[in-house]
Amino acid sequence: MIIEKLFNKWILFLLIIIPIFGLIFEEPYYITLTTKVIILAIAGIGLNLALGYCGLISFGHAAFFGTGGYVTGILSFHALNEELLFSWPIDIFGSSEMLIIWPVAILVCAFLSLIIGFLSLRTSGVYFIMITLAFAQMLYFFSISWPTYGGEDGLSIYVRNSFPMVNTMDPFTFYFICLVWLMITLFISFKLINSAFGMAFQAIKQNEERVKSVGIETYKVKLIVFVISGTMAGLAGSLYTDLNRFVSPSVLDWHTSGEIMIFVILGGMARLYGPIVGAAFFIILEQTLGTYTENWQFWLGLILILEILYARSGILGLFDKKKNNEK
Amino acid sequence: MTNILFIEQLLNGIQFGTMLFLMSAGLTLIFGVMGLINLAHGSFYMIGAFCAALVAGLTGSFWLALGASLCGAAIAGVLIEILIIRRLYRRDHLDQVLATFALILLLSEGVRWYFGAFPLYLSIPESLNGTIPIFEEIIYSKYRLFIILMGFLIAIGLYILITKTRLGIRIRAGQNDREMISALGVDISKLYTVVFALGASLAGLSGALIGAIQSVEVGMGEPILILAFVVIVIGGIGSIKGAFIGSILVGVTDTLGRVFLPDLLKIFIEPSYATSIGSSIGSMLIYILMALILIIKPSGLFGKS
Amino acid sequence: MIRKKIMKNKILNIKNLSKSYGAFKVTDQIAIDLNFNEIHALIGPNGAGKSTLIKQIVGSVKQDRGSILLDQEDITDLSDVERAKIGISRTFQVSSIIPSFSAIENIILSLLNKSNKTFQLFKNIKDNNELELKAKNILREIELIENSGMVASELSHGDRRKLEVGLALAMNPKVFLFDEPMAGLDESGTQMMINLFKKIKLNTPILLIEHDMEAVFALADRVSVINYGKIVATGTVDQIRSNELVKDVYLGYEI
Repeated sequence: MIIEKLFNKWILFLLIIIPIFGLIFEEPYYITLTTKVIILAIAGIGLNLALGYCGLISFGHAAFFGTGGYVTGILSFHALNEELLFSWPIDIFGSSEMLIIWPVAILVCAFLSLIIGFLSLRTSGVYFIMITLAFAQMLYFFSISWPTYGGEDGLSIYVRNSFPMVNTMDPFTFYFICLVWLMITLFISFKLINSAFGMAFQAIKQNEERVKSVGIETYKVKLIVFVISGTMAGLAGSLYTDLNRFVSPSVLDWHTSGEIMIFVILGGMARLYGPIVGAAFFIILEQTLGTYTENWQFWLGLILILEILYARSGILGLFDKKKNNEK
Repeated sequence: MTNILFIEQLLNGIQFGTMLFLMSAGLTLIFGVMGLINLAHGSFYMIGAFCAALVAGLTGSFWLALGASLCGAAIAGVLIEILIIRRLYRRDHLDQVLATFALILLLSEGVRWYFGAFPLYLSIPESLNGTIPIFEEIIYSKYRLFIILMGFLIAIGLYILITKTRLGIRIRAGQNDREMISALGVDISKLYTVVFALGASLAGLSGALIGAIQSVEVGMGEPILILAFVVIVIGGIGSIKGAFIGSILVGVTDTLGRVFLPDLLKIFIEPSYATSIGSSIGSMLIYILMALILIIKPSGLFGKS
Repeated sequence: MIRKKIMKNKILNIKNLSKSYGAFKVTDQIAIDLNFNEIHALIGPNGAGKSTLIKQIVGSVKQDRGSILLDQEDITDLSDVERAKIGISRTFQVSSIIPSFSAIENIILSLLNKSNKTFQLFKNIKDNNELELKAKNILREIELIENSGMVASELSHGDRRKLEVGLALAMNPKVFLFDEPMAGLDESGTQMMINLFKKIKLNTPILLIEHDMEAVFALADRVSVINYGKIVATGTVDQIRSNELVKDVYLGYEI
């Protein structure tokens, strides 16, 4: 446990030190890469709440990640073209202000996860996995066949959305914004898992029947966790669009759901910092293997299979012998 | 005119449905007997298609290619079952999802490595080229009709296999009670390998059959895999009957929805909007269908609650 | 007037409860009730339908027919969670606890509903002294206070049985349904349970399923015998001991 905590501090330290080096040695690529890790980690932290702590195997978090991304892209697109987003019931304009985009993305994703959760949580087990997957696919096909926002080609927003007083086009500034969001989501997760509510949803993962029998409305608990989880993934999606200044249906693809899941699993489930480690490891793997071979995902697949068959508790789990032995 | 189009599209829907059935029958069997959720099932579809394209390229025979798709996918199924899958039966669904997702990455990239990124083509044999009149003015593609017939034949074959043969009895026993089959003195691990290979070969065959209409490429199994999931969720996981009815329902709904929804909407709204809205909603139709069925029956049409 | 008073005394009243799987009747027109300040024991051979009856009362198995009244309120159509919320508390035949939680955390989980804390999203539960105090009192009652910090999965079998009862106690319900709470307990554990149940029943009645006949006869105010899904006899301990039918059911048991 102590080594794990030390490792966690190192991870945060690296997330701060690498971009600073990038700044000093004028290597903005490393700043962008760290930003990507941070954004993916936010999505992972969201999924970790549902998957790691509450046992809800959602294979459809791309729906929220992608929707957050598209909300951002669409608002910004309309601001750029100076077109109305809606003309009914009142005139609504697009926006390129992050302070407006974020709340809209958060609300839309919360609402979406409420609907998807409301329907999916009526089922459990394999049905839940497949239904969350199917809902995400539904949005994916919608995004492909809806021509207004680029369809299959995606949507470019050219200029990163703005934040008061700072220049978001500067990589370090945008990195810092994302870092703050990472801290906020980490803090919220930390508060949640240590609350009475957190106690309830962690108990549900282990023994839902018992939790029901002590008079806790497990459906409601799971729905709230699912909504918070989906909303965090949506926020990450919003930042991801700004990072790339581009959004395409691939953010809604089921591979995205799988990858978010991989961040959680690689780092170790139900560990606060797990998704950060997982996302970092994923990006490092992509960067290193990717330079040697085009087929780096072959090796990713192999590593994953070996991990699942033989090292089940993730990278952080390697430092925690006791939990390893339990499995 | 509309009638002819309608019947033609209906047949297309049924053809699509029968191929979905070949995929979902394997998925639902594997889940029903071994309790395994297998995302890599689409990879066997791809492997079958590639085996077929390879053999067709070497021999020029479509029929040998079909045989190769069955055998190739079955062999791949046996190997993968023995090396990886059998270690997953006792794991929870999450491990199964992840490991089989990883398997997709492995197999897709492996195939891309070997065959390259360019799609291969498999041509329809001379005897099935062209069209055939089926009813008065209605003419239909011979090959698609052949696919429908194949699908129905295999469905009947599966029905006989499950209800009339010893293997079928064991499979049904496995679905109902896993302890019972070991009590019957059946070598479970062999049974599991056989069931897995059977599912894989059906997927491989449908990959080859579809590969001749579309192209044979990496990742071709993924869209149809997810549709197969929708099918078995609608039909009820573990039920072959559910898989059959679900497949036809999904195939027909999807095909008709995409074709006719835009036209239908033109009656109500401006044509230019109707086309884009119609095709978007058409692509979502089966998922809406699935949501509706789940609201009424959370464990699918023929699932055990 | 008198009749009304008797009715009022019944805190749990079950009528005509039936459930069949195909042709097999697991519970067949069961009528059983529970008075205030009473321990009503339910005995019968394995597979007689005792556990199904418990499942029907808590609402995890839906009945085909029949009704369940709790404190004169019809709860037949309520879900399992709703029934637990308004005051039905159970233990499981096989200990069902949260394995990674410590003993005290398990108890606190059970306290959440009554104290309306379930949906406190951000307040640290460890800062809640009031819940901790309540939980400690319960741990003292079930003689588990020394192991309060121990992870539940590492508790001994006997301690887990105690914790199981502790979880039920923490809910402060209207009735208790105890499903073989003494199974696998040693003598001192059984004695502790007997004393505890005697104390509990002064406030809250208990429907007790138990195979340990000594414990049943020491505790029960009334005993019902269930066989093949039917209640074949109900009466005081002495009446049941001398009932010929019961002896038939319990051939081999020393009654």
